[in-house]
Parts: sequence; structure tokens; C-alpha cells
Amino acid sequence: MTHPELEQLNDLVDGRLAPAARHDVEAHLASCRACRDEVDALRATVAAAAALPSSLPVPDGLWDDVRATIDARRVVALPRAPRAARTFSTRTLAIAATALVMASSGLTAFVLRGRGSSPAPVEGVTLLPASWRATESGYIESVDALRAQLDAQRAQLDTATIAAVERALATIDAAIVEARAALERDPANAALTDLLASNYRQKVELLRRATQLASIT
Amino acid sequence: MTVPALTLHPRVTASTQDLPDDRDLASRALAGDTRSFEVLFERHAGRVYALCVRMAGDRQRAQELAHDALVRAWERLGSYKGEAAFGTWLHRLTVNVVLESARSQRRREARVALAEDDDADVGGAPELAPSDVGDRIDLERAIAKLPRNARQVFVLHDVEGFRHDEIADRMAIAPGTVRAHLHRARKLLIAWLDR
Ligand SMILES: [Zn+2]
Repeated sequence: MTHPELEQLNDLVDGRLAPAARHDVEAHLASCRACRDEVDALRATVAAAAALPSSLPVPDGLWDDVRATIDARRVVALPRAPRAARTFSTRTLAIAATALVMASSGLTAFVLRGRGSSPAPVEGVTLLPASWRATESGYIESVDALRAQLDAQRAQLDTATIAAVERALATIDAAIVEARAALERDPANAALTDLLASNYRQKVELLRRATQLASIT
Repeated sequence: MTVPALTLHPRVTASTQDLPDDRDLASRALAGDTRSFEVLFERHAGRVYALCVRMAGDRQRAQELAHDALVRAWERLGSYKGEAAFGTWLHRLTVNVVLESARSQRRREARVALAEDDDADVGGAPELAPSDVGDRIDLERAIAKLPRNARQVFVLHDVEGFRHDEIADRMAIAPGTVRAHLHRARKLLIAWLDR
């Protein structure tokens, strides 16, 4: 007895056999246990694949990464952002740093203009919302840790890269100070909260890229 | 306290009773509203990620691909016209991102190695935990261990339901090659999973 090729059994399972060939294979299956088992295994595999869940739990931090990239490109389009550390180069980091600077500066003024009026100065001390203070201390922790790591790796980076990173950091810091001061005057302003968070995310992202670059050069 | 309407970041929704549908969210996101995009992310990122995990066979790489697909979705929201479901549009876009990445990876490897067979990366049988782990996990792990082209064809055809001609078209390979990869993938899975 000649068994059909495995290709034919696959095509049978997929409904891709011409009627005549299908008739022949089915006639063979009726009398061949081995080929029937083969077809059963194929069908079980196809069914198991089709039954896999269409969604899987998203890893922590995926949204933050997506959001950071979107924010970084929001005002000035970044060149294709390097994702994996192995694709980083000094040049792309410098370009990214420059784009981050452009993205950060002047946004507070833009947000305030978008409201149609500048916030009324509030007399006395205004505290930021407690929820935001917790968020902020989280960012500051990340910044401090990355900053310490970067300082330790400084020797691995060339001076031009260090200068580009420092320039970008200085501008982001200025944007943070600016947005924070505006938020203190107008704590209910959701857009300012977003902007300040976005500035912190950019700072974390820039430091993260710089440390990754240092650890692979 | 009332918060004035802001053009830069309009609030997505004030109540949970009338959740906006995907098309509304997509058009708000297109206008620059990242909160609306975050809601779309919450609804659809699990499917994007699942596709990336199975196609890439590697969770780290899958996360990068999912990131790239979602950022591209944000950038190309203007090309979503609302005629198909947003999830379908996003799914197709993700397939493109994954396959483009696989193509450029093949080109890089071709420059390095001398026409090395794609099949060279087949490991032995995957290390499968004892049966208490469950068939589904075993299958996911076995898929991850397939050679790349066989894995991608198998995922697109048997998991995602694409037709042979669509796969041939998108992967830029001959229909006969699609068939060969598919059969090879199933044969390896059956052997590894001892079905
Ligand atoms: Zn037989």
C-alpha cells in the first residue's frame, strides 16, 4: 500500500485537494490507520492553534514606552527612533536629544496660550495635588538612579555625546521648572499636569538611552 | 471646581456610562489627544502584543515590535478612515510592522552569512515542562521554537486565519513556499508535542 505524501494530508486538512485527489486520499484513509492518525494529529494541531487566545497580557511599561515616544515626536518629528540598544549610535542619540530639546521648550507657554488666558496668580502657598506629588517622586527616583548610572559610565561616552546629553537635560530641566511653576499657580490645570509628566518622561527616556549607549560602547 | 476645556488635551470622557467607541477615540487621538489613544491601547494592545509574541518567538523582541506598531498606529491615524473596525486596521498594520522587520533582518543576515539556510536556527525539541503546565502553554512555547519563516507562516495561517495568497503576498514569497513552511511547522509541532 502506498501512503499519500504528508503534503497531501495537509492539503486535505486545509480543504485544498482537488476532488479526484481528495477521493483517493479519503479512500486510503478508510483502510490505513497510520495515515488516519497523521490526519488526526494535523487536525488537532490546527484546532489548538485556532483556539489560542487572541490577546495576551501586555507587559508592564509598554504604554509608558509608547507614550514617551509619542511625546518626544509630538512637536518635532524625531527620526525613526532607535529602539533596541544594539541599534543605537552616538549620532542618533545626539539627534534624538536635539529633538527632545525642541519638543520640551516653550510648551508651557503653548499650553497656557491654548487656554486663552494665563492663569491667575494665587496668593500665598499653593500645594500641588497629593496624587501628583507621589507621581513626581517616582520620576525623581528614576532620574536619580539613571543619573548616577550615567555618571559612573561617563568614561565610555565621547565628549560630543556628553555635551549633547547635557544640553538636552538642561533644556528639559528648564521646561520642568517652568511647567511646575505654572502648575503650582494653577493646580487644577490637567494640561499642565500632563505637560509636566511628559517633561519628566522625556528626561527619564533621554537618560535611559544615554545609559544604554554607554553600556554598549 | 471646573476645569476649562483645553484644546491640547481634551478629556476623554467624564462618565463611564457612555464610553466612546473606537472611531470616536481614533478621531480624537488624531487631533492629538493621547488619552483617547490610551483607551484604544487598553482595548487593543493585548491583541497586538499576542501577535508580536507569536510572530517573533521572543518576548523582548515582541515588546519592541508592539511598541513600533503602536507608535506607527498613532502616526498613521490619519489613514484610518473608519470603514473597517479599528482593531482590524491595527492588526493589519501590526502584521506589516512585524514582516518588514523580519525582511530587514533577513537582509542583514544575508549580508553576514553566506546564504545560510533559514532552517539552521531550528533548535532541538523545545524544553517543555511536565504536563501540568497545560497544552496551551506547551503550544505557545513550541511555536516560539519554530524556525522563523515556518513560525510566521504558521501563525498567520493557523492562528490568525490569513489565506495562503495573502501570506505569500505579504511575505513576498511564492505560494508553494508558504505551503512548504506551513507543513514543516505543523510537522515539527506534532513531533515536539507528541500528538
Ligand atoms: Zn497510509
